Amino acid sequence: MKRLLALRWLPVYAAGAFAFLYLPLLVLAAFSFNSSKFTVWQGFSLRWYQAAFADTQLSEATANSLIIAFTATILSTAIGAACAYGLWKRTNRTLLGVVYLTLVTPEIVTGVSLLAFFEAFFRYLHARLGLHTVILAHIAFSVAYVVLVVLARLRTLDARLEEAALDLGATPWQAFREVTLPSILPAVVAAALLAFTVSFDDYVITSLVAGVGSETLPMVIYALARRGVNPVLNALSAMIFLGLGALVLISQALTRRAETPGADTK
Amino acid sequence: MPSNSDASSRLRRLFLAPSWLVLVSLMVAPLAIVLAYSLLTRSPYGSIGKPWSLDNYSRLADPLYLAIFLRSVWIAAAATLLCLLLGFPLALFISRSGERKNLYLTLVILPFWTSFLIRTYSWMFLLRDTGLINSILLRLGLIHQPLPLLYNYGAVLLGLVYGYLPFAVLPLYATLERLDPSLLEASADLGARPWQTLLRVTLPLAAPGFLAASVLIFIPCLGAYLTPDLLGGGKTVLIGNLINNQFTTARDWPFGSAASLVLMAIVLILLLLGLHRRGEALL
Amino acid sequence: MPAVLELRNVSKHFPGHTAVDQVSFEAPRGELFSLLGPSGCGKTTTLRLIAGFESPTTGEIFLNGEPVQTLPPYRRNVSTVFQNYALFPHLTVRANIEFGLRRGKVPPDLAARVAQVIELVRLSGKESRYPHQMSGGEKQRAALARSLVLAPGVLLLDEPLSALDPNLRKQVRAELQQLQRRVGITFLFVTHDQEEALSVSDRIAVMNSGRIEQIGSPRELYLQPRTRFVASFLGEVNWIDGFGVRPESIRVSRHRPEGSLPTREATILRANFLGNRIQLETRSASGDPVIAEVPRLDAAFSSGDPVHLWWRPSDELRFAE
Repeated sequence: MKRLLALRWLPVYAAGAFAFLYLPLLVLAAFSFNSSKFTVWQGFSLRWYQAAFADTQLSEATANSLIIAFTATILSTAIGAACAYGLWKRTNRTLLGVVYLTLVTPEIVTGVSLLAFFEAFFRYLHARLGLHTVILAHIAFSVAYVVLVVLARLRTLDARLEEAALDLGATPWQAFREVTLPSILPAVVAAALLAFTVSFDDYVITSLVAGVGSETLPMVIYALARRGVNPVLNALSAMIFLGLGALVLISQALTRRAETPGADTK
Repeated sequence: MPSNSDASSRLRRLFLAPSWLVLVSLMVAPLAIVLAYSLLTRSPYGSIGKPWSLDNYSRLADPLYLAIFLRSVWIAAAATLLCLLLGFPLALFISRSGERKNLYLTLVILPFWTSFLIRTYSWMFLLRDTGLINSILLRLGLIHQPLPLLYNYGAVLLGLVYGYLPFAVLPLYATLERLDPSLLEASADLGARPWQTLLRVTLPLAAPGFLAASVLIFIPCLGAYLTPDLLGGGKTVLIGNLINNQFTTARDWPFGSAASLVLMAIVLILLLLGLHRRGEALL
Repeated sequence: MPAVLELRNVSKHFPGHTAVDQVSFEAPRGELFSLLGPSGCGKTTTLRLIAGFESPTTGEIFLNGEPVQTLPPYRRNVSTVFQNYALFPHLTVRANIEFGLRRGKVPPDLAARVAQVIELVRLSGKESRYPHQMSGGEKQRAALARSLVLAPGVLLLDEPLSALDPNLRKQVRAELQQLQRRVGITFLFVTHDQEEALSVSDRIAVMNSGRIEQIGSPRELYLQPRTRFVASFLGEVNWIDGFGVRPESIRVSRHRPEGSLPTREATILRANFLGNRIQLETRSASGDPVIAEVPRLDAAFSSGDPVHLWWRPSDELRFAE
């Protein structure tokens, strides 16, 4: 027991833990360059990447996913950042409660309840499921992330700055626009990047509220994965991971920069 | 008497209005509809209507469905425990890494935010009959038949632990980071060996982190759908699969709604018991 | 001379407590007027009511004779120097100073006005710095410049020295006073530090539990306090038979003084060396503790010595209560 708990093993353990987190992804990425269709290394090749780019179903699904993620991100960032600002100086417990509710509701429950909601209304409106329902669903679940990221930043901000602006003759809107917004902008961008990745990656909710002809990339990936071995999927996974990973890194860097001293007078 | 902050509060209301609209119409109203459906009855043709009844809820007490709920609780609990066990040493390591802390934290967070779907798929790639692990073992001659690694509860458990390990590391790190280093020095000063300090001082003081992490991991694992569906194949049934089936293939929305609400109730009760506002630690 | 600022029976109630209770005062043009009191006495709330960050529950506030209590902060011709200065971190010193001038139509002489005020607060050459690149004293001057450039009717200063290094405070305090004399704007200075208030103010309002206890010049307040609170907040007081005597007013001698001055017999308990003077802790014959402060040269007392304490009748602080 004593030996096992010796703290000098900690770095070794950590290396193992990081390997556990990253090895499956690295192996997947490595095999995306394998010229063989099977899980045996035969030589370097870009054929699965070429196949991925040539696939019209994939490119259509990617286009859908991008349209959905861009639209949902812009709207949910605007709505969520405004909400965070509104909650900053005077908390509204009910609204904040609903924000937390959206975060803790299991995805599957969010998905089926949105499906039930759309179907119930569309029966009267003669409308159908499609890209627009997916966009609405994505706004619904990503607003909460934006609210929390931006609110966390606002809480480190000196409320006197806005008072100083009002005192110097700025209207409340000018005070927000010229004093508060520039300070929280990195956090707003960070939140938008997170909302984008969450939206781009979602399968569970999307698959329930997407209509015929509005397949997204995760839906295609899911279908392919259930069908069996598919090296095109490996290539696709590597590209998505790299792309979204870059967005997450930028988002993290923006959040950290806002936290460093000197960026704010206290 | 008019208030000086009229314009400010007008702006505030204006800023809050869109989120009220979105959250009420796209979160609260849908849940209300599910609540209504759960109390209605499905006709033989699949449409929903009166009479109002609690039949959907009493059906959940059927041993078949009860077993699904118990199994889900069991797997979520096991995943939570494993995440805590695996996550604590990592959190401890990061909290003692000085300037590299941010780098390591980013390494933990990166896969979590990036793509849950692809991370789950990467395990399918490793665990399949024709996957990397079986291929290597077959080639080395250690086995002659592929091991059934995928499509069982073990694979689901592995997928959940892999998916939610960051949820253990982050809150545990946050509490360890807030720990007053002079407490550890005091412990050493009083003659405790490092491992004794770890057991007697660090671990007890990290209790709030363990509590937060448990709730944060248990809740999404309990309602997981993607992981059991992909890594469990058609063979594993947890609450998430049950609900999804009722809304898709079985088309029994009232029963699926009842199952959804029971899941929500469990989640909310756990939250009220264990956690107040620690969700923020994740962001 | 008409008052630039006037408060009439202003009160502010918050749920559960009254922060400001029936406060009235006037400040004429060019005066340095201080609100002095312990923390929680309502002085900062009074300042926030004047600035417009809070609205009074009852009462009226006049600026140049016009009622302003219903106007939002951005429509009031007052400006605030915040305790932590609240300089905009994303703007340079120059942009901070220009902020207020750029609200409506930009004045044609903007550059000249900014240059003049930068000169006035001695920040020339530092216009392009950001707040986090400046020292505490520079930040304070930048905050002053940002407000002064608008030529406000009243400049509100909320504990403007408290964020500074203690050994810098006296110097900045004197500079602030000189600056006020030069620009001739009414300053409303909020502080909890009685020495600070006494040294810079033309007049002081002493506040306690939301009320004004007394308004007067520093000299009046110190020498003729109207309440026990004012007397003891502005300095040490010995309470002898219902009236007060400040320690420095008490003379100490071995022999009974000539004439008919008020005198008490006492015993020295301790003599404390304070550098420039000696503090004597004594007990009077009636058992009251009395503290006297005497010049160092006078004092050759040690504990146990019987002494006579005496003072001039005009140094007795008497109260109606």
